[in-house]
Amino acid sequence: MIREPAIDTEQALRMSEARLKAEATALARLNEASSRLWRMQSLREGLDEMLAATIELLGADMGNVQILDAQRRVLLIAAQRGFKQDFLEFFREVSTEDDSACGRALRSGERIIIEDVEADPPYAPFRSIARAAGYRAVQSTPLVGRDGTPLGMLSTHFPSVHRPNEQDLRRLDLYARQAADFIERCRTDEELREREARRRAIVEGALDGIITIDHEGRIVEFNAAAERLFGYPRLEAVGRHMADLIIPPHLRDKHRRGLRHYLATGEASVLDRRLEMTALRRDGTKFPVELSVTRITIGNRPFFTGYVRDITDRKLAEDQQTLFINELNHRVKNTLAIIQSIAAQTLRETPEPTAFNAAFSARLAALARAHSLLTRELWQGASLSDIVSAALAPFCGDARQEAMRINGQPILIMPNIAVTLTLVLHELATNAAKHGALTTPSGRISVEWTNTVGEPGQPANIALCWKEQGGPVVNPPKKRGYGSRLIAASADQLGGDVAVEYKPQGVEASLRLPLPAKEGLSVR
Amino acid sequence: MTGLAGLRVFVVEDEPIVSLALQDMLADLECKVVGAAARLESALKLAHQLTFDIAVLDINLGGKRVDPVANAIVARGLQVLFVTGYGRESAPPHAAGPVLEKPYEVKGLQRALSEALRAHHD
Repeated sequence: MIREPAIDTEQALRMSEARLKAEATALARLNEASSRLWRMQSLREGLDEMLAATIELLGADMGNVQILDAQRRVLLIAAQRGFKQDFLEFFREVSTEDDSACGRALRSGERIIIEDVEADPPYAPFRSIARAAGYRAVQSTPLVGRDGTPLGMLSTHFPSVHRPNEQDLRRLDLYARQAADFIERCRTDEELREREARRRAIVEGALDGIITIDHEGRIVEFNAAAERLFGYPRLEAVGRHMADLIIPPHLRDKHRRGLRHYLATGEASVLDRRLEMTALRRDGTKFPVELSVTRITIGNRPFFTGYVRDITDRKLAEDQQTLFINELNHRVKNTLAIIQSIAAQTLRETPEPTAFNAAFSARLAALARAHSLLTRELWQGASLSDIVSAALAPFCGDARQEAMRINGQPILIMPNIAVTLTLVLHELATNAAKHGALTTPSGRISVEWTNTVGEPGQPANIALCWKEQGGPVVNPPKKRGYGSRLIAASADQLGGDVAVEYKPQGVEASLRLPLPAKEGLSVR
Repeated sequence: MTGLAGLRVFVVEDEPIVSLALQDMLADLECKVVGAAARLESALKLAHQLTFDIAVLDINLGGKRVDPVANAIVARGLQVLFVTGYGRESAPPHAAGPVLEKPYEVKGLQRALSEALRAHHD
């Protein structure tokens, strides 16, 4: 009898040892599973690991982990062991409406244990699938986030009627906690990765160069646009001093002083506004940029991010605009000077107001026609035949069409020469209408020109000939009129020779002028 | 009676029409136009060859600046009067004297010529 208690004690001791051993094994297994979990990146892999550990812990045959789709409030299988397609199809989505173990657990937020599915009335609709899958008992434990948010379900299935003991259930709670933590960690990681991917996409997709430097001026960020802009690959730029890379040498000291001054005093002249400055490419070329710099603080340390835009095109457009405005101003002034000169000259010739008005208006109209021609060609020049036609237009009405003969090759004339030629031709035609061929019905004027463009060994010249015929007998004028003075005065501007001959049968004027090499033949 | 009578003037102006008017104005002021040029090349040649007291120079000759001509004239110890349609600021740096802005009338020309000659003699 004495020994009996001893045997009992021994037995109790052995049982307690076995329990301790089992406890130690379960904790070791949990520890092993969770340390493996921390190394795992994919949710599925981690859940597989936790499921395997749980099945082993509870001595179950099969099991699954479901993840809650928070929007649709349904559980979706994320990991499973021991099930066939039929079961997986059947339980593909489980809602709070369902009376399956996991459905009930989702509804109540608490663990559901069904010791015997055959004896559980609400489980009736699932019995056939349970039989086919080969389980008789099931437990579903909710996976809950640290803040109480439901995340999913950890279920295990047993081949025969079964209820896990309290100790197993306590351990199961530890496993469920691990699994829930793992799901949360994966979600946070995923969010971080997504956020980083979005940030990177924004930075890399930007058309502006984005460069971040640390407080020492070293590059820590250099986006794709910056690579294109400056010609340095990111890997080569990161870690180097920005000043040495993209700031022209004469501005480097200023940059370094500015950075030091800011760090010492917090005063900065460059932060948070748009600046225009010169930047340096890898190949040594400089280009204008628009730059804005912002300060960011990460972990107490200041960083500076610069947004850089190449404004070469804009600068060019601005320069061009300035040039255009200056040129326009010059042209207006020049035209006013020409008009003033025409007025003064006309007044000398015809002081009588009515005659003055007629002659002045006609000259002004000729000038206006020359301008119209040139404007049409964007002041690049005008074709000689257009110039001749424009100058003679008022003198060849319908009745006079056949009196004029205009003939020559296509030639492009520079704007200033075009204006002079128009006015010279206007004077010749005015004289012809007053004293020459245009005073009689039988009178004829021919304006013809030839050129030596492209002829080897010859400077490119054009020779224009004005010839009047069939008019009254011509007598040389006693006093040189404005027309012939203007022709003579034009010679030097035209860079050629001019001559006016008062032949009895009609006035003949010839102009020979060189063409600048670039002009060539007009395409029009 | 203008105080400019007999002054020998060399005219450099690329617009023949404006050049003619300028020559007539100078004639009205009893000046003597000894030569006229419209292009940089001919102006440069005449700047060395002609005998004159003052040159009236249009700053822009068909898109080219008249500076080489002005330099040649200043080097000869002769005076220049710049004329421009671009505004005073377009004048070359050695244009210490007056700059005549286009369009101008005979009184303005007379004043500018007198001023240029005074500046020269000071």
